[in-house]
Amino acid sequence: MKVNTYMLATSLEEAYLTLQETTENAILGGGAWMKLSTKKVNTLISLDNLGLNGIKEIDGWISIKSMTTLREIETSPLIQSIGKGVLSSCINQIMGVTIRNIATIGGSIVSKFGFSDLIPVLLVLNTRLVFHKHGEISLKSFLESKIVGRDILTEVLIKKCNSPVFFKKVKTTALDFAILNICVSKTEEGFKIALGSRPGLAELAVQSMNYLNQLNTVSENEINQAASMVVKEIHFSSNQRAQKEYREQLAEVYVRRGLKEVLSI
Amino acid sequence: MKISLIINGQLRFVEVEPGEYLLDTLRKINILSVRRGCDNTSCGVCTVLIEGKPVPSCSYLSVRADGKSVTTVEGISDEAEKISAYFGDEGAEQCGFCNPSLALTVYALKKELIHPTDEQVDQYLVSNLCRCTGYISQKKAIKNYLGDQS
Ligand SMILES: Cc1cc2nc3c(=O)[nH]c(=O)nc-3n(C[C@H](O)[C@H](O)[C@H](O)COP(=O)(O)OP(=O)(O)OC[C@H]3O[C@@H](n4cnc5c(N)ncnc54)[C@H](O)[C@@H]3O)c2cc1C
Ligand code: FES
Ligand code: FES
Repeated sequence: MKVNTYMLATSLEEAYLTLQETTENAILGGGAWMKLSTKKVNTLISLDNLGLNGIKEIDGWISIKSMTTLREIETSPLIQSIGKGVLSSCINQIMGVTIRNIATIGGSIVSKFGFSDLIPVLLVLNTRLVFHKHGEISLKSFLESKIVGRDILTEVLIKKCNSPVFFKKVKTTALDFAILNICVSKTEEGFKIALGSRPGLAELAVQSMNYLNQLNTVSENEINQAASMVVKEIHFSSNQRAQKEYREQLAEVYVRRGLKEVLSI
Repeated sequence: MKISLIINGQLRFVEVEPGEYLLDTLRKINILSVRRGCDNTSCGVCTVLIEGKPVPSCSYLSVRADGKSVTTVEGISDEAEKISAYFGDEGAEQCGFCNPSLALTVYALKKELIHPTDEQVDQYLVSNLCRCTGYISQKKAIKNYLGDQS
């Protein structure tokens, strides 16, 4: 990354207006991913002085400010109140402690990485995003559309839930991206299943979820049925890490295991 | 731009470019124990402590460190000597390229985690790559160091 000017924003509005000036201006999150970019940035806008750090509980929701690092989230006791600590166990599989000490939740969401471990987990939880201009939006709507535009993510809100959430990152080495991410939850809103690193951006398996959610009881047969539906409705493809067919097999097996785990059967 | 860094307890003023990374700044002022490996947050040899936390200096902008404390292995020399003695005992050192950063990360680990399990140690050090040792002897040495209460 080549930077022309570094600006320490004094207000969110100043940061936002500078971002709108030209597409060559950019917001700096943790900067870990931006480091890899060969892009030329005219003004690099730092949010470091805007108090966008910290995790707190508000009326049954956990609020995480966008500049909070992945390590701060991973080690926060408050995070244990979401899906029995699923975010901690997901985050601690992302690279090492040093990068997690700089990478932020804001940068991890806004960049909509297909390989993201965090996004599928946030998708099966009730997650809402707060942008400076756009205001509040669900994570799902943000991922599926471009309605937010060039804005600044300020806060991530996650509903607390006591039920266990299944997360599996399939990878070949400790520091690699996932071959596939599988996440399954059963909360008061019903079943949710998300597949990430397909290798495309994570998606909810809506038809399979609807199928499970209209049933009165779910046992082995229905679990098998839902797992095979996932493979039909979600699009998988091949890349240098794995073939499409391998991903499909993994998805079916781990969705089945995930459903059994969240149902304790 | 002129920034101030508190490097190993000493205040220093350094001229940096807006897109300059801390690794380059530190090497520019002759702190050569901070090394360049992958240059993309994957290998750990550029690790320094910023306000006590281990970060990859290859991906940390120098302007961001303005006014902050930066610790390199020279700043923990007593503890680093102790750590390297344990490494020596186990034959856990070969070319030595990874050692300053590993010592810093192990030092940070000891400060952050009380009685860590073997799994926690592995997880903490997963991105400190060593090209020579194969890790077994390093792990033994680190375990012995962490068990040392002195
Ligand atoms: C070598 C490497 C390996 C990785 N491996 C994995 C992995 O296995 N799994 C995984 O899940 N992740 C992985 N990551 C991604 C990492 O976890 C972070 O998601 C990533 O670094 C982005 O976070 P950041 O804070 O560094 O963002 P930055 O690099 O600072 O920013 C990324 C983008 O988001 C924009 N942005 C940042 N913050 C905001 C904001 N508040 N509002 C609006 N826009 C914003 C920036 O302008 C930029 O376009 C890896 C990263 C690296 C560098
Ligand atoms: S040189 Fe910074 S992590 Fe490899
Ligand atoms: S001893 Fe050579 S890289 Fe670790």
